[in-house]
Amino acid sequence: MNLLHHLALGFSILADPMVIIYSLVGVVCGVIIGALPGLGPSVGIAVLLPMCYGLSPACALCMLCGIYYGAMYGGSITAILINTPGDSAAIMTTLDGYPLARKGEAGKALGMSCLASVIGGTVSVVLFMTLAPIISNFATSFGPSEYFALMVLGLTSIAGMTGKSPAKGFLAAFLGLFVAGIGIDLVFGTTKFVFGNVNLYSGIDFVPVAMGLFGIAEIICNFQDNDIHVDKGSLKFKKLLPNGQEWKRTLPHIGRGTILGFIVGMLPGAGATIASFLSYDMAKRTSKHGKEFGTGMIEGVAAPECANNAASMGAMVPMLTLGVPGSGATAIMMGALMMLGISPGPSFFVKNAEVAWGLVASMYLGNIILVCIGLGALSLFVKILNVKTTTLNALIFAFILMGAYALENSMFTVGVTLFFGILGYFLKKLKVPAAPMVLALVLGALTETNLRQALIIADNNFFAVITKPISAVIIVIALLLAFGTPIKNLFARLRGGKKAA
Amino acid sequence: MKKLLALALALVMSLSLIACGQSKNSNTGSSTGSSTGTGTSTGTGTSTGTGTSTSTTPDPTPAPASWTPTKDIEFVIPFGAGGGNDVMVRKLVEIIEKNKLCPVNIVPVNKKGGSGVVGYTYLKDQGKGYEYALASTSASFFTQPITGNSPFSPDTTDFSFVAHIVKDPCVICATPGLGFKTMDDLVNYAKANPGKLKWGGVGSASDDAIIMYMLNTLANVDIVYVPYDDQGLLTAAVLGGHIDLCASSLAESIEHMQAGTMTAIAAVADNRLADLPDVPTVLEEGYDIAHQQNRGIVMNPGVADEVLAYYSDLFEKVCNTSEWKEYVKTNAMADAFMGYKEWTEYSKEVKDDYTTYLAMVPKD
Repeated sequence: MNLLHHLALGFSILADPMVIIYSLVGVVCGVIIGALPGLGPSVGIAVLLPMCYGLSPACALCMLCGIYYGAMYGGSITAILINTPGDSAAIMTTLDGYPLARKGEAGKALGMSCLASVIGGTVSVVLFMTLAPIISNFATSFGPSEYFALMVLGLTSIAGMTGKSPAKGFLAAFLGLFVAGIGIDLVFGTTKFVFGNVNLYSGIDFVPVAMGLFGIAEIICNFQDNDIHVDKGSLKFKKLLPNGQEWKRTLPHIGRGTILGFIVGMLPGAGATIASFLSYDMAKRTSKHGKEFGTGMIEGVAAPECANNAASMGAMVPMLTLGVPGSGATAIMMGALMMLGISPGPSFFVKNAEVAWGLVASMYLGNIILVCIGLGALSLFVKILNVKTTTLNALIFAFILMGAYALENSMFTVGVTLFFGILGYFLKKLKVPAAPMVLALVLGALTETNLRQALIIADNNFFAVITKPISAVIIVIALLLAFGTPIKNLFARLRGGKKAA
Repeated sequence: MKKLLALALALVMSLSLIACGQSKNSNTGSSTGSSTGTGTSTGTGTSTGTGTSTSTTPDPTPAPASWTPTKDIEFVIPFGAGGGNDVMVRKLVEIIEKNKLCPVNIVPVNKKGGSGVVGYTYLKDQGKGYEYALASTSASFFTQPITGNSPFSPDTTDFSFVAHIVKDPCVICATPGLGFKTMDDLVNYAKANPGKLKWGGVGSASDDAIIMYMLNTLANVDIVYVPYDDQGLLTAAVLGGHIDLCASSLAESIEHMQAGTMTAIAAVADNRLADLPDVPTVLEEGYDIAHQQNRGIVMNPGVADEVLAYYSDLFEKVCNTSEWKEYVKTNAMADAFMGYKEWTEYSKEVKDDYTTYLAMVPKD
C-alpha cells in the first residue's frame, strides 16, 4: 500500500503540464542526439544541462531522464539504417539490424528496436520502483575481483561473434586487446605504446573506433557494392509492428535481456554497453536459430536493445540510492541533481520523496512518449534510405567526422576514426569480423584494471581473487560457456563409444 | 621545508616591494613590508621574458600602470565537460559576464586528453607573452610532468601564474566495518598489520595517493595504495568494504558520512570543515598533512607583469562576489585566493611537495 501511496504522489507531480512538456523535449532531443554518430546520452545530457538551471527539480530530472532513454533508443536508428552505432550501447544492434535493413526490412527492425526498448524500459521501472530501496547494496557487493570475473564472462561472448572462422574472430579480438593496452598505466603511471604522443595518454576510446570500423568501413564498401532497397510496403504502420510469430520468437529474449540488463546496469563498473553485449550473446546461445544470428535475425535486434534500456534504468539505482554513478551519463546527471540542491545518497528516497517518486512516475510517462515518437516518426527515419546512396554516404561521412570531433574537441579523434575506418575496410575485405575487436577493446581495458586492483587488494594472490563467492560463481559460468559444448561433445562421444563397444 | 618557506617568504616580500614601486593596481601581492620604501626595488625585478621569478635581471623601463584586453580571451579547460574543473571555470566566467567585470568575452574551451596534458600543452604553445589564453590548474598540472608524462614543466619556464582560486579539502574516510574512529585507531591498526590496509584513490599519481604516502612517511606505517580510474567505483568499493580507506571530498560523500556508511576520520584541510564541525583536521591529530588540490589559473610563459596583474585583479573581484562565495560553500571548497606573485611562489612549494611524494609511487 505504501508503494501505491508513493506512486500516487509521483503521478500527482505529473499533473503539471510543464513536467510533461519537458519530458517530451527530453525524449525528442535524446532520440536525435542518440541517432547522431558518436554522440551518446552523456553528451546529450551535458549539452542540455544548462537548460535545467531555471527549472524545478522535477522538470529538470524528467527532462534529463528523457534524454537518457531517448538517446539509448536513438542510437539504434543509425545502427540499423547505416551500420553506424549512434552510441556504444548500440554496437550490438548493428550486427543483425543492418543485415535486416539490407534485406529491405528496416522498418521492422526499427519497430522492434523501439518496442524492445520500451518494454525493457517499462519493466525495469517496475523493478526499479519495487526494488531500488531494498537492493541498493547489491551494487557495492561487486568489488574489483567480482568485476574481473564479470569481464571474463563478457570476453567469452566473443566466441559467439567470430562468425565462420574462429581464428579470424580471435585475431580481431587480439587486435582489440592490443588497442586497449595503449595509454598511461593505471598502477605505475608509465606510458604504454604511446610513442611520446600526448593524445594517446588517456588511451583510445572505443567510440571513434566503433564509428570507424562500422560506419566508415561501410561507406568505403558502399562505393563498390551499394544500394539498400527499401520495400515501400514495409513502412506501413502494421508492418512496423512485429507479427504474432515474431512476438513469440522474441518475447522470451526480451524478458531475459531486460532482467539481465537491469542487473548489469546496476553495477557501476559495467553499464549499458556490456549489458547489450551479454544480452546479445545470451540470445544467441538460447535461440534455436543461434547459428543464423548476424544475418538479420529480429531477436538479434531485440535482445541488445531491451537490455541497454533496462541497464540505463538499472544504473539509476546506485546513482540515486548510493550517490555512485555507474556511467558517464549518470555521473553528469548526478552533477545536475547536486546543482539543484538534491544530493543523491542513502536518504534520497526519504528526504526527497516527492522528487524521487515523481521521477519514477515520469519514467512511465517517458516510455509512453518514446513509443509514440519511435513508431510515429519511424517512416520519417526510414526515408533516410530513399536518399541516393552517394549523397547519403557523403552526409553520413560528414556526420561521423563531426561526431568524432565533438567527442573531445580535437582533430586527433577524427584521425583515429579515419584510421580505424580504413583498417575496418581491409578487415571487411579479409572477412575478419569487427565486433570482437570492439568488444575486446571495451572489455580488455576493464578486465586489466579490475584484475590489477583485485591483485593489489589480495596481496597478489590470484587464487584469492577468483575464489571470492561471487567471482567464483561467475568464473564457473564463464568456463561452462566457453568449454560447455566441447565437454558435452566429449561426453556424448564417450557414451556413444561405450554403446558401440 | 622551513628553509624553503623562509626563502619563499623573503622572495614574496621583495617582490611585493617592487610591485608597490611599479603600479598601483597590483594590490594582490603580499602586503608585508610595503611601507619600508621602494629603494630596494632596483636590485631584483621579475623579467617579463623567459626567466623564473628568481632571476635578477634589472627592469629598466617601468611597466605601464595598467593593461586592458582588447580581444576575446580563450579560457582553456584541460578536462571534459561536466567535470569539477569545467564547472568551476564556467562559474568564474558566468560571474565575470554577469557583473560585467571584463570588457571582452571570455570563452571557455574544453581541450581534454592525457589527464590535462593536452590542454596545458596547448596553452604553453600559445607562445611567450601571449595575453589572451588562460587555463585552470588541477593536480595533474603538477603530477604529469613530475612522473615524466608531459612535454612541459609546471613552473615559470613554461607557464605564468595568474591567481590561485580555491583549495579542495578532503576527508580521510574508512569503511565502517573496521571500527576506526580516530587517526590513532587507524595508525595503530596499520602499525600492527603492515601492508593490510588498502587505500583507494583516483589515479596513481594523484592527490589521493600523495596524502597516503605522506601518512605512510609521517606515521611510519605501510598502507597499500589501490588506484581507480573512476570516483564512483572508488566510492562503491569503500561502501562495499572492498578497500578500507580513501580520501574523499565532502561533495562526493557527505551523505555517506552522515548516514554512517563511511566513517569520517579526519579532514585534510587547514581548518575544520563547516559541514563536519566534529571531525578534527589531520593537523590537529598530530600529522603535518594539509595537502589539497590547488585550483588556480595559469597562462603561457612570459606574460608581462601588468597583464598578470590585470587578470589577478579580475579574479580577485570574482572571488569577492557573494555568488562565488556561495559556490565555494556549496561545493565544499576552501577559499584561498592568492594574487599572481604569491601564487608564483606558492606553486614552487606545491611542486616540491609533489616531487617528494610522487617519488614513493612504486615503479614496476
